[in-house]
Amino acid sequence: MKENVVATILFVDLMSSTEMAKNMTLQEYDDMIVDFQRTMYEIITHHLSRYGYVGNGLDSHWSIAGDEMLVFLYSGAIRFDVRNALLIAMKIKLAWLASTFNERILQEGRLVSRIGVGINCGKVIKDVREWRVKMGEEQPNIEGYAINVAKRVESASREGSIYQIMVSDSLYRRCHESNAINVAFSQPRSLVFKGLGQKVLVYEVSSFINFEILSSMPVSMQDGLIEKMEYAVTQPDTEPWIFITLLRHYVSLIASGRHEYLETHVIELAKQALEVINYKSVIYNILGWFHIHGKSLRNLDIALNYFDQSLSLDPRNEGAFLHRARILEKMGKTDQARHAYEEILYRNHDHPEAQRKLAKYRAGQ
Amino acid sequence: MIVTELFVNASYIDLALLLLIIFSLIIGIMAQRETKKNTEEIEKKITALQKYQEGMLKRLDSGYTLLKKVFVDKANKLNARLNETLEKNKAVMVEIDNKIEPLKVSLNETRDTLRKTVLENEKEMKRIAKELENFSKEIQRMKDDIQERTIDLEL
Repeated sequence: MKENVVATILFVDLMSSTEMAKNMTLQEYDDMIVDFQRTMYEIITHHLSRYGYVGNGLDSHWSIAGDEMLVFLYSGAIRFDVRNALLIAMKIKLAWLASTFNERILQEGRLVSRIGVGINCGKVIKDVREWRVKMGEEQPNIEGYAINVAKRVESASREGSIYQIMVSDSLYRRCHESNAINVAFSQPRSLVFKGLGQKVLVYEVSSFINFEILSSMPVSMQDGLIEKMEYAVTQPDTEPWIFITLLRHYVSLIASGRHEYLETHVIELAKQALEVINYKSVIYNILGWFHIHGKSLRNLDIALNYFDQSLSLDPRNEGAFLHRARILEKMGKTDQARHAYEEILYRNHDHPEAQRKLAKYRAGQ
Repeated sequence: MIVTELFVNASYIDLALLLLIIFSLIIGIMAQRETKKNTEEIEKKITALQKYQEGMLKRLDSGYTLLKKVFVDKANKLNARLNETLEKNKAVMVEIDNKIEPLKVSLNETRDTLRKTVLENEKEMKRIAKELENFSKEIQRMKDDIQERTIDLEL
């Protein structure tokens, strides 16, 4: 039975595999593809099950062929699907970085093969074909223009320089419909793709802050993952996203209050990240956070300075505004704090904390 | 020799000695008589005392016999009453046993049921405790997730 659904489509591709095939023995190439497919399979099955997807074509569908994977998410909750698509993309990149094949490549001092991801969101038709039923298969065929766009968007990931996770305009807009997904994108690029006949806006994920990325990885892949990431960031041409993911992990550990010994290390790591990452606001925010919450690092003046730097690069950064307002309040600079909360409310009329604080200031007058 | 001859030839001292001897004999005889008389009186008293003792013994014997009889009577009566009471008690015990037996059976059944119920309750309590523990862990995990999500949105 044919069914129209709004799907989030994720295209994953092992970059430059054709060029790599030329420089590898057939056995080595096969090892790489086998490892790629095994990694993709583990990540996608584990993630869909953990986040409550039923699978079997009911709310999701995926397939792996050669050096590509295609994932459809259509649970009916589009924002949920979008968030999961971003999480899957991140986890795939992380799992591939830590894979057996890449571990060997890293040890040999060679460049790790990278994964490009394209994500689009749009209407598709889902249909279980008769011939599939005759073959005893129940998975649907999914067709639609949105899939073609997703594939094209993914092809632009080679030109990416940050996460190499590219998204279409429709997905970009879905991410900005609410503040529930803390993802930042680079400036859009207008690209003309072969066969599409029109310009398509493509955005690259420049920062994705999410605590679940590491903790929701399959247990078998969590062992030694941090060490592998730590090793990866010491290598030349480190992928910038590794810094953000690693720093976010350390934020969790320091927030738990039991990892004071890490504080010096995370500051060094964050400063190292500033040299590599173009989208520096998030790193300034993380540095500011460490200077508010780190036991040995606590210094509100330094923290305030970092949030100011973050705002100088990204004047709309709500997180930086909020921390700045809180710091000014803690410092007893009431007028400046009130002004900072007013700025937050000016940009986000429904911001609960800003509303609450301003009401308190008004009551105190 | 005749007596007169004696007196003729005897001096006055001899005569005085003779008289002394005679007088001593008389006194001796008199003392013997007195002793004999006292002895008889003592014997009479002893006899009287013996009679009195016999009488006393007889009275004691009869008193003892009487006391013994009274005691035996009392003991027999007491024994009879005791036996009677024991018999009665035995009957009461039998009656109680008869009444208790079904209660005992019922009590055993109740105890088994109770034990079973307690065991089941214990299992149920353990299950509930486990569920509560899991629930508490889940709540803690949710709290942690909310905290982490808040941090995410503020970075």
